[in-house]
Amino acid sequence: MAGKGKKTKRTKRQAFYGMLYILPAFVVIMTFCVITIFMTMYYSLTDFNMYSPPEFVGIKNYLTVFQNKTFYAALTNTVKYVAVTVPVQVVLALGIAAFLAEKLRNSYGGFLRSAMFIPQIVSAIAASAVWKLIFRTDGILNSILAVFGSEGMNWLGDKQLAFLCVAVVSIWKSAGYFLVIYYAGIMGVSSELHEAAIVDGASAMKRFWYITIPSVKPITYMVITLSVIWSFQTFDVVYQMTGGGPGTSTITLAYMIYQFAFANYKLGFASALAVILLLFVLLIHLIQDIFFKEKKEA
Amino acid sequence: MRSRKKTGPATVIGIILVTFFAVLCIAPLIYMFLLSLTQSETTRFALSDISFDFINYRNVIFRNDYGRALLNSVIVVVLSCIWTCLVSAMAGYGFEKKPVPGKEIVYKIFIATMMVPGQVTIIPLFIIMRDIGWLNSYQALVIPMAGAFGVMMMRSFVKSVPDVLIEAAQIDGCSEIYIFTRIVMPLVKPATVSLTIFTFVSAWNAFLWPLVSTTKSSMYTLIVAMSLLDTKLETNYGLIMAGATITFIVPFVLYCFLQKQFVEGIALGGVKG
Amino acid sequence: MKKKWLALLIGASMLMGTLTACGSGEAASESGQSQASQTQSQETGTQEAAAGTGDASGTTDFGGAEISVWVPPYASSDAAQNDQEFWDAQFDTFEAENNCTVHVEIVPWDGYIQKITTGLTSGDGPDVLYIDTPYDLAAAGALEPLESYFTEEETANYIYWDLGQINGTQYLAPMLVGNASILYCNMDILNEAGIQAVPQTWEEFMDACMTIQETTGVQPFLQSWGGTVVKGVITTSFLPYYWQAGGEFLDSEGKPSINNEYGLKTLEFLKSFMDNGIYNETITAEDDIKTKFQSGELAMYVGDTGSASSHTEKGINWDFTPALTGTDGIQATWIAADSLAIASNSENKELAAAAMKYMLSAPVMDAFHEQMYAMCPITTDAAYYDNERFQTMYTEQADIFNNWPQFENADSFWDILFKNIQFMYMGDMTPQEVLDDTMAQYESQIV
Repeated sequence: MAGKGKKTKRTKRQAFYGMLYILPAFVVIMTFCVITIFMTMYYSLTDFNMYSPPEFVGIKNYLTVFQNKTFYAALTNTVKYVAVTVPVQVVLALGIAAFLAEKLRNSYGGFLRSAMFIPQIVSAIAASAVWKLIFRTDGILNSILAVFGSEGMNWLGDKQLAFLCVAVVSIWKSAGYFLVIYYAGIMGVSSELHEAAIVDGASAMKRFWYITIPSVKPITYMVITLSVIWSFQTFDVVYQMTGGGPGTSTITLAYMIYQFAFANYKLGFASALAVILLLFVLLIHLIQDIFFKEKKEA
Repeated sequence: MRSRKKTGPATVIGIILVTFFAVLCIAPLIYMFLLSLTQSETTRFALSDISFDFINYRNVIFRNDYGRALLNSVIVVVLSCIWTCLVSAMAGYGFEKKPVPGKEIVYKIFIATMMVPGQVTIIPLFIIMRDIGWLNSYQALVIPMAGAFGVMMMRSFVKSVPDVLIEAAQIDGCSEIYIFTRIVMPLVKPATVSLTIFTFVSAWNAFLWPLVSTTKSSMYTLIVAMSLLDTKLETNYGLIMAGATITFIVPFVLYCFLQKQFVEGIALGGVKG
Repeated sequence: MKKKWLALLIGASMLMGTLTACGSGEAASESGQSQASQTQSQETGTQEAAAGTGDASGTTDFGGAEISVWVPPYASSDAAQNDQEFWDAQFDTFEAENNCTVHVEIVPWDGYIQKITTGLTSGDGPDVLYIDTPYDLAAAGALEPLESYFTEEETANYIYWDLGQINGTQYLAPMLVGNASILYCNMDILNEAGIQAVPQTWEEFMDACMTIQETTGVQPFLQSWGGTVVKGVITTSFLPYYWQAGGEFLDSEGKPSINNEYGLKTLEFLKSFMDNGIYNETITAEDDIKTKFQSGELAMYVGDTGSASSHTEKGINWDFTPALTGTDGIQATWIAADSLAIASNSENKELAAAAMKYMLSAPVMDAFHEQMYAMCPITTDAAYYDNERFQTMYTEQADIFNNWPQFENADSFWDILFKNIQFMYMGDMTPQEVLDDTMAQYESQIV
């Protein structure tokens, strides 16, 4: 009896210590990531700017949002970003990682991996500033194209091309990161499986398809999750490179939230946009979960 | 084994393609550096325009308060790394090794916050910081840097610390602080290195929050200062590129020296997560 | 109505200004960028200020009070002294004589109004602030009415004082007036095309464009319709034409109204450059017209008067007209008239007003115009430092100049309009659709 009582007391003390350990993270995450979500939800039902306190207006902001043309452009663009950048990043990263793991496990391969990782450590702002110059109509890219006899493209002045440019910069920036993750994952796949497949005479393509891809599925799940979140947050590149234009062809939800919150100070309206962005992220995540689960069961 | 494999034409094409992609990855940065050495009002320049007098760099640092911004960035990054590692390691240890009631629910909530885009929380974050008078302060830039990612990463590493080790120390009468700092922390050192590098890159390159939470030039971080280099009255692409190069050089030098830790850290964070 | 009356005032007072400042004006127009005499002129500048030229109040002991002044940067990035150094040096004497400390904060142009608004609402903002979009701040009560801080004698000395009114209240003291959007022509190219004089009307201008295109093959004319600096584009590429077409920007209630025949005429004129093959589809990517002009690839463009000296440096044989004349015979263009204001939550408004008067005084403004950026004199006792080729224009043709229309949520309006005109150039909207949609979007936002 006495022993048990002592043990509960010890457990209680340990639990108390545990709480102390968790407390700083708890306070930070709860304040800045959880409570703020509820605050955003509340703000989205109010009308307020920098000077006036929030004033409850019901769903008025949402009605305004759904009547706003730019919102639909931003929503379409955001979904398009996800649809373009996520598959390209995954395919590029997985393809190159598998190739390097299969054919170039030497120092040259290592050098290539190091080089491809570099864009990840450049700030999006600095990178976009450079790419903006590269994409100018009188810029270096068109000069290079001119060498090959091309007339040059209207990169940032054309709706489709400007969108593509923003996507290219995002892909350029993140592909190396996913590549490194994939490479580590593939190197972790048991080589016995590969050796056995080689003995069985399976081609490199077959081995990639039937061994590598299934074995890195958890990594693919993570890469897609990260890539989706990042694509939804596309802001820096748009801010520095296009400002959402020409027209509204590159505007994203994230950029629109910034514009309304911190340039026009329509904080209630911007909060409604933020809530919609959150719902979309959750929706995509749900779809992704269902998709991956089905594949697992099949 | 590997060397005996013959290199077919497909492999050669593959190597060329991958090399080409690697060149694409670094070419814009080389262009950035070259342009920063010219006094250029256009984006076309001849090699003869390049001069190694670094005049743009001098102008950017001495005329545009870049020195101060550089200092701010260093302070913010160092504090962020320390703060994030400490908070994450403590929480990771608490979650993994302590019998806290209801901890799994809290942990699930933590993990769920990783899905939330920063733009969703930035308006209330701004209002909170404004109302407690923390705009233009280092703490406003540092404290929100800690997040669920670090906690998750640390927890997965603390898992590998044997319970026996901790229990033995407890029986020996070691204090909690001793156990945490002398037993747990050394064992999760690889994770700390990874998380530090992770935090370093994200704090150094953070843009949206520093942009909205600082109004005084004496508090700008390097990235914010860079984004504001375009003046309304003139264009000197060389100068802007010099600014961009400076923001890149610090992480790049670190990357050159700590390449293994960078790549391992990132990969580790990715695979474990 | 207001314009005519303003013109009289400006014209009269500018004449006075130029008379009194004749001597120094000539010398200064040449030394726009030379910093050789910088320290010397600073000293004389501050000494004059100490003597209280045109300032009756003299000095006051403020008991070591502190205020902060927020202004944007004007120095070029490679100038010998930056804005911080300039203002700190200027305030040295003021601080010593009035026993106070003035903290000068240089706020970058990009996001300027956001920084100001955040600063004002967080209680850690400016006491004296420089501003070019004051309407929303004034409407929110963030700016202090100035009437009680200035005597009639003082206000009479300010040439543009009445530009500082919003809805009948004096919130602003105009500080930097000038940098008008004018039409620059590269005369070598025009002469080559057989055009001897700068075109003056819309018709002549379009003819000139076509002639240059046909005879020389040089790009005749370009405007910036790309990039991210929206307001800069509006000042050169939209507002001048709208006014030339005869449009008034604000309706009787002070709301923007461009959905009228003048708006339509403007947009059709802007669109005709595309239809006539003078622009191509890259127009929505153009954001750096000035360097094209300076490299001789472009015959004409509308830009700020501040660029004139660099055109000369680059060896361009340029001429200009202040503004084209529209089909109804109206000649008009945009001019900057950025002002100083006092924050209503300032704890030391008397000191703020004194610092403001000091900044606006002839010696300080002369030093600014000479060393930092040349603009028009704003007091009757100040000198003319801008390019001498613009002196007649600024003094005698002042009635053609209009500043930003002031109305609610203006930046948002410009942004919508800018994007819609881009859509027009990309073939997605007709001029009428641009007008309809711009007004509809703007109205849905301010409700």
